[in-house]
Amino acid sequence: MKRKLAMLAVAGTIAFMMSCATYPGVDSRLAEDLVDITKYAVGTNFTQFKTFSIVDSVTLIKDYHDSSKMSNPQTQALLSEIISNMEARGYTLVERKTGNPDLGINAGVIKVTNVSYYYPGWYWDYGYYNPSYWGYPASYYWYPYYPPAVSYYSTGTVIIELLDLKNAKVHDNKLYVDWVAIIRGLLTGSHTQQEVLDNVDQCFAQTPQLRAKLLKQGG
Amino acid sequence: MKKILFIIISVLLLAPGVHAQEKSPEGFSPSSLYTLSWSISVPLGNLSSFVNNVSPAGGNFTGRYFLKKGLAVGFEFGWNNYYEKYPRDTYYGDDGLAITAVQYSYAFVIPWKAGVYYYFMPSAIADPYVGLSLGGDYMEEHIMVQEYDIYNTQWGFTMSPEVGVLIKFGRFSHWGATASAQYWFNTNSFNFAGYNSYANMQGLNFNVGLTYMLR
Repeated sequence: MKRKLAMLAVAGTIAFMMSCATYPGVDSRLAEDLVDITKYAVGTNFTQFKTFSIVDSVTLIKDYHDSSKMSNPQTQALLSEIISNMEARGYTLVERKTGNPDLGINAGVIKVTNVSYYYPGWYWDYGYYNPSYWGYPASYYWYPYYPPAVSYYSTGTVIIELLDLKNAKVHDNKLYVDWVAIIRGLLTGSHTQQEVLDNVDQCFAQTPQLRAKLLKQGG
Repeated sequence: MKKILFIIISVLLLAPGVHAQEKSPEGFSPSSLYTLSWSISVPLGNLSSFVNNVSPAGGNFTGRYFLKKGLAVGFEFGWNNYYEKYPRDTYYGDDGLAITAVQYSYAFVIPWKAGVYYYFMPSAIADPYVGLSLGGDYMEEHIMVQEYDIYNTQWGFTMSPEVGVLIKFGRFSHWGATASAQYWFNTNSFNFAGYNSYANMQGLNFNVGLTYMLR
């Protein structure tokens, strides 16, 4: 009997050590630093675009039917950071209505539980920037690639989308989302504004393709 | 009746089966043996580029059948898992995707092998052996970022030389312990979005297990 107990103790110890060696669960992984996910349409020649315009406020998406426009020092800092990154890549900021921009930039903050971003269609109708904002009333957004996902957990997400306005007619009035950037973290974590802005910079840094002029070889 | 009862209870309690007529100074040579082991694995080769941590999470079950004195053939099923946390860095895919994040790499290997073994002193208390096993390795490799889980699965050929020792708990005990060191390599290869490619998986496993011997 003692031998059996000893065997059980040994087996228990081994089982415990094995369980320590496995990876942490989703909750722990989500509690890590902000994650930056970017995706661009492979094959897009970003040098064909020279000008851009950006939304004047950030859309806060809370739920399926609950979204609102936000304009405060934080959201303006976010938009400014995007603008300065675009300018650093050689693009010129122009007026949305009069400047005939080649690119349009949407910015949103998703603060939700249980929302999937796998197919973005659901929220265009509920307050996120309607295609008509960009002067294309009969248009819709289109991903030329499978979009990265935002799903399932109580996350705070900043989403930035680069829309191809220049070729909208060629694309049958679809506004191709040529680049999307997603910055996400748990809502329970606290992230400073500077952290978010640093992560905007990181999104651009990890997309060297996005620039108005080609870099010189070896430069 | 009492003797029969005694034998039955002995077997049920997995106690050493002692039969007076088999007592001899040399002990007995088992006809087959079965071992359940705990396996600690050191990743080598390209596996260590993917996950470099030594893994205490593994186990295997082996059965060996003696063809003649000292020479045995057998099977082995097992598993080892490996995991490592990598600090925040940027990873690129060839589909336009880039992710900057803390990343967890996780792999597990499930070998299914047959082998041939030679035991040098089958009737001794401590019986060293050498062996070589061949078979297939099923592998999975995961990269995990937050709730995302990108993974590959594949099968490959595996080969594994091994040295070890069987230590009997008594000269006539059915029970013993086996300790062994196993080097393995397999032909599995994988990549993530064509960016990071891995081939030439290798490892060194240290196994300690409980052995049951049939005579």
